[in-house]
Amino acid sequence: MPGHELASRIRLGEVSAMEATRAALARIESINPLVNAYTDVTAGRALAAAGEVDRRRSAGERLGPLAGVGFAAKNLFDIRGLPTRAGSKINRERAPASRDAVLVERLSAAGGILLGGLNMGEYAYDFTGENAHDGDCLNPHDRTRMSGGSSSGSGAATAAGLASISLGSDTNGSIRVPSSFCGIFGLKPTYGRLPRTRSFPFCDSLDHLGPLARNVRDLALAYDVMQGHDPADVACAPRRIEHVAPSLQEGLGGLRVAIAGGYFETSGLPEAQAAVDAVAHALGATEVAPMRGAQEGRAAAFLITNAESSAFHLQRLRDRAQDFDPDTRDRFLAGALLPAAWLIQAQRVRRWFHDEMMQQFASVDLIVAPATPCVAPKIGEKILRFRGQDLPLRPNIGVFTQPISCIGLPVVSVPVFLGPLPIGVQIIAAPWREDLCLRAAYVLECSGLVTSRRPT
Amino acid sequence: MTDANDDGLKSMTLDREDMLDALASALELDIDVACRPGVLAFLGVASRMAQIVYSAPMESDSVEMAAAFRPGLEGEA
Repeated sequence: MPGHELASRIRLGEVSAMEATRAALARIESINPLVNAYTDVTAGRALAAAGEVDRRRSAGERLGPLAGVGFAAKNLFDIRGLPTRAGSKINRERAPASRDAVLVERLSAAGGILLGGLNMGEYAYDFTGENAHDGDCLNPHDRTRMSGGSSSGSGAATAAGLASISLGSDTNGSIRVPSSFCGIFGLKPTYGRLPRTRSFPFCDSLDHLGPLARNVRDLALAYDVMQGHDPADVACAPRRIEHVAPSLQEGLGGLRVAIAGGYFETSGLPEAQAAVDAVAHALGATEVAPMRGAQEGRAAAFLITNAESSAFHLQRLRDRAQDFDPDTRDRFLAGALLPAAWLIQAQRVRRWFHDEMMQQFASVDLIVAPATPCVAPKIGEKILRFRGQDLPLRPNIGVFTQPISCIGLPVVSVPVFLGPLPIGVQIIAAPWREDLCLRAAYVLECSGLVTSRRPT
Repeated sequence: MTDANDDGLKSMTLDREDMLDALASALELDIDVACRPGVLAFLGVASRMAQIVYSAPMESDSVEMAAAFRPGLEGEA
């Protein structure tokens, strides 16, 4: 049942939050061992929160829009009482968090029931869902395949029905890649929209937080209750709250939709091409946006991420490099060695590419682009066949997501099933226009073209 | 336009093994011999990314960067 429907039924007294939460916990207990999405289940806390929702309802108090709806958070979000491991071995020695991350607090205040913390790639430097410390997170649609990362548990838990809504982070694609591979909806808001307070950073210049869900309305409701400035995050923009749920049904109404061309061209990528074509057709996109500067923007995002995250982890790399996941360690070590001039040039390119894209948004409202070059690869796969070339898989899964987060554009990844496996398509808008992305996603969902599917 | 012989590019002509040894030493970063092939491979990827960012057709007399520092407390006019 969609989260918003469950909340309605709880408000009407047709179901109790306690019943719903017990059922959610039972499902986690039986299904989670198959996909390894959760690293911590906060059952006691969830049952207490559910009891409080039911008490409030009995007392005639107002219930929030997510009353009784189960959610879970990537384990880089602070969860009171747990060390914030961020997918690492080293961080689990940290003291337990004394307070929840702001976004966990806001979902809880809206009546959401926190079910636990979710698996992720170490320190978020991952697109695969593989993790040497906590075990690989598996794709619910085919457990021989990757869930995608780094918000691997967020993708797998949401797709498998182990949470209605999950929280993820996206620095270069880490919400959109698992959304694509696991066949769900993911929103990466504009850089600076949602506060990152009390979450463990990866690359502050590019880190975004956002929700994943199995339907657009749940995604929009979660996003709406999480909005609002928080001065403790220096990158959080002091913008007013702009609710999107009320405008979901406004349709496309004259919106100008273009297909991303140039760097995002999908010839030679049959799965991505079929999905993009179907979505573009459904949205009436005919124009092609040239996306000038995307390749340079992607390279800039790579260098900024590599240099900044490695500088952040430098002392940990000095003291205990062998405690890192081997798949992230060598990238962090390399990133620590990059010349400063490369980073400065990357920051200049980020500004330039942003300005180029702002010119494109003068004549277009939405841009359609692939989220990933292919459906979920097999676990352990190291090579990506990309337009006739064999490329290293890990850094290239995010080839289409990375330029978009580089300049902080809002984007919703929508799931297209062209066979048994899904692939995502990005719906991209100008800064601060999350409402347009979600409106288009809702149109596509209502048409039946994009939908999440319960794994068989 | 950006000069292809920008100072930033010159460092790419360094042998990556030399780069690893020199910078790791400067940073007091002890890189295990078993990690060297992986680190060198990722330095290679970063070098290619650096070549791409230096190919962007930007004006050479401007250094506008993405990050903007705004001093003062929030709410101050």
